[in-house]
Amino acid sequence: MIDMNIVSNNALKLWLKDTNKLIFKISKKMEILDSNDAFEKYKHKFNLLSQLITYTHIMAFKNKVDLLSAENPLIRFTSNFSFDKEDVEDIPITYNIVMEYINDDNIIVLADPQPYLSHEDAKAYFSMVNDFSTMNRDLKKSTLMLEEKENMLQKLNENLEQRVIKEVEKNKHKQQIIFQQSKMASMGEMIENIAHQWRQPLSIISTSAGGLQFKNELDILDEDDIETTMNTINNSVQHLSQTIDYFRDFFKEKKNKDKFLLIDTFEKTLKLVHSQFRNNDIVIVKSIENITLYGLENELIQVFTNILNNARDELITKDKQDRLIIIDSYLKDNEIIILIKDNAGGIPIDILDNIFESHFTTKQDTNGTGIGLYMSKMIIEEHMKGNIMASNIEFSHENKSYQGAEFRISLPLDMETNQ
Amino acid sequence: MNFLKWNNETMSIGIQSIDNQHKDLLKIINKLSLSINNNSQKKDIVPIINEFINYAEYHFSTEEELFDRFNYVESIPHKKEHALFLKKMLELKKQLDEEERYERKSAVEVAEQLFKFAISWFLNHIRGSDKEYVSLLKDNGIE
Repeated sequence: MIDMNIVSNNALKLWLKDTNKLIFKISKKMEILDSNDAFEKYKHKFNLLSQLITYTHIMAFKNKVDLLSAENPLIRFTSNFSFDKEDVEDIPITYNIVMEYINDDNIIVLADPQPYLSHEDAKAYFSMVNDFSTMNRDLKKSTLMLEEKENMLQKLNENLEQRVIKEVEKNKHKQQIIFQQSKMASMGEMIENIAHQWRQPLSIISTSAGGLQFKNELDILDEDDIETTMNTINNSVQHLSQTIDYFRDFFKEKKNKDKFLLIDTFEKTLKLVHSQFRNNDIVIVKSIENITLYGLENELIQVFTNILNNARDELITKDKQDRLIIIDSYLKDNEIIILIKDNAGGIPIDILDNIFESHFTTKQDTNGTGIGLYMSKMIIEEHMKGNIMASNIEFSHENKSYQGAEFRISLPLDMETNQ
Repeated sequence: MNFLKWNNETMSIGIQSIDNQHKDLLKIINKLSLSINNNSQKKDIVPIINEFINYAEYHFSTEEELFDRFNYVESIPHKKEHALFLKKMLELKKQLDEEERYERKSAVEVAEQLFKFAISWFLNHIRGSDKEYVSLLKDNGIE
């Protein structure tokens, strides 16, 4: 408790007890000798002021104490420090300090804590708090809106997912229909090819039989005639039967990919379609690399027949010229490049970009389904991991120059067998 | 394919000049038959049809001139048969040039029809209708 020499009445005692002002007594050596209740809570176990106040602040404090003397018994100053330096979170408080010198062991210190915020600071603080609460409110609102939007987004996503699933299914279905159509289209094309291939042997059989009857009726038939005619008929029947074998082989559904020779593939293709080319005076010039490919050979045959048939359809609309189809191939960077070009003048520039689209056809009124080249692209790119494109080119063949369309197919090589 | 050979006994109508022209027809039929065996193309068939037409022109005019000169009574139906032959030739020629792809006959198909038509013409017209005017011509001193 404080020395009652200085404070003598009860009211003062009470004030000393209840005030938040720190009142304490120190010696010149900065020993804490006495204090009021307010200071007591800071003091704890320490008896030296230096143990209580941070070093920077104690120096300022000590300077003032040193200045005190009997001649200079009163000093006022303002300082800000924390009375509890171990509490890192404690905010330094500004104190208005009055020190009164009585003697070296009797210095009364009165430290009046000031609100550590200035008026302006307080205003700024409150407006900040206000802002924060507004911000908080806004944030809450935003959070709510965000949640709402997230919900909507989730629903949207779910819908989208369902729609995507539906679309994918629809697409799948569409693809199946297209595959079916393409099968039918190539079937129709093949039946036409069979018809063409059968035409000649059938005509030979028919005329042989007719000739035999004629000779018989006119009495010019001899043993030799019967023998040769029967041979002719037999050979033609063989031819018919072979044709069936080629086509049956083509239509046989092979599901397993296999290795095959590109040369063989072209041979098989031409066996299927050659009649329609020969009958229309179309010359096919070919130079094909002897390489092995991997995949479904019949699908590649389908691609080649599609391209060749397209070229044929174009070539027969052009009269009075040499009708040419040139098939070339070469190896480049682990790929086989196959070029099929014709001299039918080329693909009109305005449709060049569309020819691989499904159901795109320029032959609505004849036999076009618009499936052939679409399927070809699917087979080359999806099934065989290759590439197919078309362009118009000028080229020369046997010292004559021509214009036409060129289909360029690149296919990855089956590395194991071609090394 | 063995060729159709001239057999005087079964093919001759007994008038040398007409027989010679009928031999020409047989030659064209043989040419056609060879073409079918070599898988006739349009470029092979068109000249053969033209040969048939050319044959028809000179042979029919030879016959028809004689009919008119000797007032052959069956002249009109016979001339009609001639006209039918020419009509058939032009028809077959047209089939090769059809615009519509599926209507267009392949060359070998046309050749086959042509062959069938030609041999049946030989059997029916030469050994039938032609024999009917022989006596009239022979009576008028045609050999």
